[in-house]
Amino acid sequence: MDRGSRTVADGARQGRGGTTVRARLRRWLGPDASGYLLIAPAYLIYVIYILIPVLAVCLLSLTSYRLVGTWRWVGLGNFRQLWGDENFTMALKNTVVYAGFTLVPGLVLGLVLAALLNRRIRGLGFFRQVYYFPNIVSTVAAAVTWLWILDPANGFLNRLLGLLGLPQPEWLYDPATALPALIGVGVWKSLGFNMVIYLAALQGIPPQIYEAARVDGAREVDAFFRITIPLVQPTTFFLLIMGFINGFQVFDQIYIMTQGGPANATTTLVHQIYLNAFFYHRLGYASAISIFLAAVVAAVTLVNFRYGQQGKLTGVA
Amino acid sequence: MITRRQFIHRSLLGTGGLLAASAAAPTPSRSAGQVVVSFWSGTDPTVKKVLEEELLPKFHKENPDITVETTLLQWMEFFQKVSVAFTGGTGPDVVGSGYGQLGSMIGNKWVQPIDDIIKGWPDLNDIQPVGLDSGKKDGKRYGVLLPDLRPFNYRKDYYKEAGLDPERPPRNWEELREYARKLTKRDGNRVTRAGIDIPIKNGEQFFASVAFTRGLKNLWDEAGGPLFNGPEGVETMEFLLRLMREDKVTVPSDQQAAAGSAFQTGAAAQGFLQSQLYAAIDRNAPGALGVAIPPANPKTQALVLGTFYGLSARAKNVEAAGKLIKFLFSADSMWAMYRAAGFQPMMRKSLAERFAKERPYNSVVTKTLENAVGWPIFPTFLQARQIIITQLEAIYVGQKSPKDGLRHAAEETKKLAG
Repeated sequence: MDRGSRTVADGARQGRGGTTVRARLRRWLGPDASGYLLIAPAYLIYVIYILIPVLAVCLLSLTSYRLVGTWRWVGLGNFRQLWGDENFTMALKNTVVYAGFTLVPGLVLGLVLAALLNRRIRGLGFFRQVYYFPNIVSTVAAAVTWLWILDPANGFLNRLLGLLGLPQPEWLYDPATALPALIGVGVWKSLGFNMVIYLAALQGIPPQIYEAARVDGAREVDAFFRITIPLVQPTTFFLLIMGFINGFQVFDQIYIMTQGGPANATTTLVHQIYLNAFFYHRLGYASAISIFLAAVVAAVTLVNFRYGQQGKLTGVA
Repeated sequence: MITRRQFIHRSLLGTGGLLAASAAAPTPSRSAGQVVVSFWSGTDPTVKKVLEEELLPKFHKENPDITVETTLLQWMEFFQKVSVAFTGGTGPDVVGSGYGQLGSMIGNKWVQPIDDIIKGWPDLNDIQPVGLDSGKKDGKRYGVLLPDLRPFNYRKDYYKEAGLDPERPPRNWEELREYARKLTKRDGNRVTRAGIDIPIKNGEQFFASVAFTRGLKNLWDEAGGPLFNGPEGVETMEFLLRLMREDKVTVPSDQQAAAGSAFQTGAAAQGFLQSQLYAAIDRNAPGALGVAIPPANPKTQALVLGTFYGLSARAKNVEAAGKLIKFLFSADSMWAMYRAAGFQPMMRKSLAERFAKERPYNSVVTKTLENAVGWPIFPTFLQARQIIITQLEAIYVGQKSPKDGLRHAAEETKKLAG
């Protein structure tokens, strides 16, 4: 019998004489009892490992909890302390800079690469794999490799620059170049993902539009700026939001490559959360930074929901 | 064909069975009457190998009624895991910890004094005082130290190349500077081999090693108050900056780099390398490693760090745990650790002579150990360390003068104590 066509008589028949626990449970859960039972294990894991810890962090952010010993309620004291903490303000500045400067080049280069690889050229499959490869390499492995490349004394990059007669910066040892170097690594890592998403979007654009443009005398460059870019706008918006959220949560390469230095030039919000929580045991304070970060990410996500036209992304299922 | 109800029942039973099976982890078989001692330590691969393959099996053979359950972790992840374990009440009985971690563990009351378990230990007088006294806090001992020493190190092969006597390391700062200039190699403007390794990153140990020779007693006092911002600290930083900026005898270096510091990789001719890395240098450049007492100006005090083996505050079997600690510091264990790990400064006075015969620089290591000092032990050490590291970096990269940088570090450090 179709679940939706139960009659009142059917319900009465189910309940009549049903005083057992199972019968009561079934009445309470309604016709979807079996569905609830099947999703219960996953939901239980979500509640235990995600929901409760998130609620705990919200609570801890209002206390002076330090893992052991007595702790007291401080209200918004931790949040007020954030703005007087030079480590936090530096981390916030670095995080915004990192997120912003990995985003724009990542999007632009991703779109250009996707446009170039959206043609029938020899070795197309090879090029797509090469550009996507950084995205599937583990961040830790990539970070260790880049440490070697960026070594000022013996790294590959400085040796190449030396051969070309160019200046050889100290990269991760100089505050002026440390964050730009990390941004470069971030762009390199995210390029493949952006390219693949844009590729899908481009392949959803009807070729007749380009044909019509060609007939009207448009050059390729004109078609790119006046057809391609407007039609992939929803994809761009999606990648913008995702890239911003990922940029705000950067940690692995900071931890491996610079540990936030030199002189806090590369410390980020998640790095400060890590230090305060796991080294200094200032869990209340670390929780406050986490709540701040979550609030920023939530705000950006809300913008995405409001303006992102979910479900209408061209070329994306 | 099964009904929907049968499908749901079987799915739930299967899931429940899988969860139960995964939760029922196999427990090691133990005989009745066995005492179990859990032992956790952060360690490096060489010490891990000798502990797991030689020493702990030997301990079990000598004490068949005691089973040791070990967890040996990389230092990077050790403190987080042991902190969570102690907080959750599942901490080990015997715990190996670094200097920074010990202060925090004492502050959190996770460890207890070991004075009672080593009282009357016949070997007590044979252990170097630094091994017994480094782990003292408020007059009580919280661990015995497995040391990691930082004497002055240099490359004899590079000395010969530069026309310097490989058996005559620098005896004061003036000579250190002169040697560094002669030992530096360049390719145009680029320094290809540094005359001295000055770590810009994680440089607090190097800074302390040099500042000690200037008369600084330590970077912090027993309560964690700053000592580094006095005249000795400022003069030390001014001296190091002269080497970097005027003489240009350095390359960018990180004391904690995954590939090793500049001296470790052969990119620098002089430095203060941790003794646990001597074996690797001996393998890569046999006979090239020179070890000396730090150049005195006027003091020769060296920095010693390492691993403390101590007792958990909730150790279930204090006597058995005490036996394990004493076993690890027995003469046989110390010698086995030295041979198998490649290098370990010798904590046993009775083995000093035998130790001296093993390598040409071992007698210097022993002499340096006798006049070595470690960090003071206080609960906010890790934060205090991060503060000095950040400000030293700021000084090295030119954001602050030595006086301003060290003063700022001192102010931030005082806030921790307050």
